[in-house]
Amino acid sequence: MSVIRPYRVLEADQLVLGPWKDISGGVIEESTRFQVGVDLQIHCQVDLDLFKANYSLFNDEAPTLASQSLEWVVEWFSSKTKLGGVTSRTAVSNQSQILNVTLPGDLIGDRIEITRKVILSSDVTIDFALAPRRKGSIVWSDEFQFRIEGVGGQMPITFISFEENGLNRNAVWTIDISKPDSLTEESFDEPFPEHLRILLNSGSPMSRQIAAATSLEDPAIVFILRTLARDSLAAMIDLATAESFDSGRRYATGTLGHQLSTALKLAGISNVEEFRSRSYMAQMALIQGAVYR
Amino acid sequence: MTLRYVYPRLDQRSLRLNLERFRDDFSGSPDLIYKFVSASPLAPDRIAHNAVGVERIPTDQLDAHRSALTTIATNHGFPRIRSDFSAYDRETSYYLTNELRIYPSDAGSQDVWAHFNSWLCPHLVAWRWPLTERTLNSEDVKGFERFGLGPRWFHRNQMGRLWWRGFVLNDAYWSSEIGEDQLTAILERPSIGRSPLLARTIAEAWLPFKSASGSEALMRDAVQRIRLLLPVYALHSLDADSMKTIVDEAFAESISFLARSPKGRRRN
Repeated sequence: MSVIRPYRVLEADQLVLGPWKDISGGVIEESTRFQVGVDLQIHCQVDLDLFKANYSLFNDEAPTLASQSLEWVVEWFSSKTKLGGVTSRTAVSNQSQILNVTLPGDLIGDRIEITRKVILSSDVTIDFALAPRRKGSIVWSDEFQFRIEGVGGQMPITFISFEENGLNRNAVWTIDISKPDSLTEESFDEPFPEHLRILLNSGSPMSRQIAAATSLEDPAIVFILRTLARDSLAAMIDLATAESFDSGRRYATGTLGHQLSTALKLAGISNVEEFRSRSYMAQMALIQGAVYR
Repeated sequence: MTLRYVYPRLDQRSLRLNLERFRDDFSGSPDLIYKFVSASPLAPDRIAHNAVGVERIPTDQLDAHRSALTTIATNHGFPRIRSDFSAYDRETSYYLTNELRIYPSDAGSQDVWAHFNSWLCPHLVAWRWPLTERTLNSEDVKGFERFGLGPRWFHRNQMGRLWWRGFVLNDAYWSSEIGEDQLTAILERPSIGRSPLLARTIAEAWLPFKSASGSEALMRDAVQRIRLLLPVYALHSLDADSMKTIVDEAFAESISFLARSPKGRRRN
């Protein structure tokens, strides 16, 4: 959504912006690894043409005003803690600059929004009516999002005693959909492992056999794993048929939405509505077919 | 550096099972729930932690937290029925924010507070938010959002919301008379609540008007004005003095607007 501001802002040709990179220099695409409590360091390169900026913002009435009154700031926001802050401020210069950003490791989780802005660092006095004047006025900004923690696509597995937890004591496994009561449109942007997990019955010999398996050549193990894969896929497709899931949207890697979209593709389901209208047996046949393909 | 901990997590299925038990076996009675949880182990095998290599809270400290929080509640009348919990909430918030030593990133997890609200201190949640007849007779447990169920868990669950209030507002919550309506206006707006400095500045700007008539409308109108400024001014990037100037201006505009416009007052 574009913002109409009551003053002049920078034009696209006055800026050259590099991508955000991690500490190893790799470009951050949609996600990056992270450890709780350890600060996360990222950086990017930026170039601002001060000559053009001066003309654009201040109508060239004060030729050095842009270099004296503009600064880069980088703000962050974490969807998990719903906290944000300012992590970097640098006076603009006419040369390439590196914006180094340190995100506080104890305050961040899940989806991170990074907003780099060019703002006025002090109040400006100038005759030009359309010039930005007030300290803090945003004359340019862009936003980048990526995810940390829980980026893996593997289904988390937990061993528990089914008997002690009110589950069928004879079952080998069950697929736990953790938050069926809490599903909203935003849930599908959350890390996948927070929503689905495989529970293995610690009281079942077959469950222990799965955990101890070192080879996938044993036909008995292959059969069990395929059945488990079928049940996992069925659980994911069941979630994908929720009203709040948008099967046409592109979700970020590692999210529940992304995992469910992948599951639909794997099962060859292009139309969720049509799938819903099928009988239970027809649905299971399609899922079974996908697992054995 | 202060040692900090990650806390146990209780998955949503187990949370639901616990809540069904509190409802069906104990009719939501804080006393009976307390007896039940006091006799249950604090580290059942189903409880997981964040899968990272940082220090986990020891069981004896969890036990100490339960005792301390129960003592605070007892000083405020637990388990007797009360109507005003404002002082209790503030004292509990102070304890949680200063004593838990939890990573804020861990405190952003629904499952962490599910454990706190339904395993460590469910008796206090059931006392603070007595279960209604409707909830007790309900087929499902959707009414249990104070324990951490439901899409609004972040702002609704009892212990988590008190921890966050303390973390964001500090003394602006603990030592002030800011009310529930004002806290909602500030903390449930991600664009405002994301910045502890901005949240405190707004709370402090409102406090001089707390006894004035229309003070609730004032907070709502001023917050609306401040939110409209965010796309234009990098408010979060300003120093405390500059931020205070802008917030004070927003309150002054609201006062002027509400004074001359009864319509505007109704709109809020």
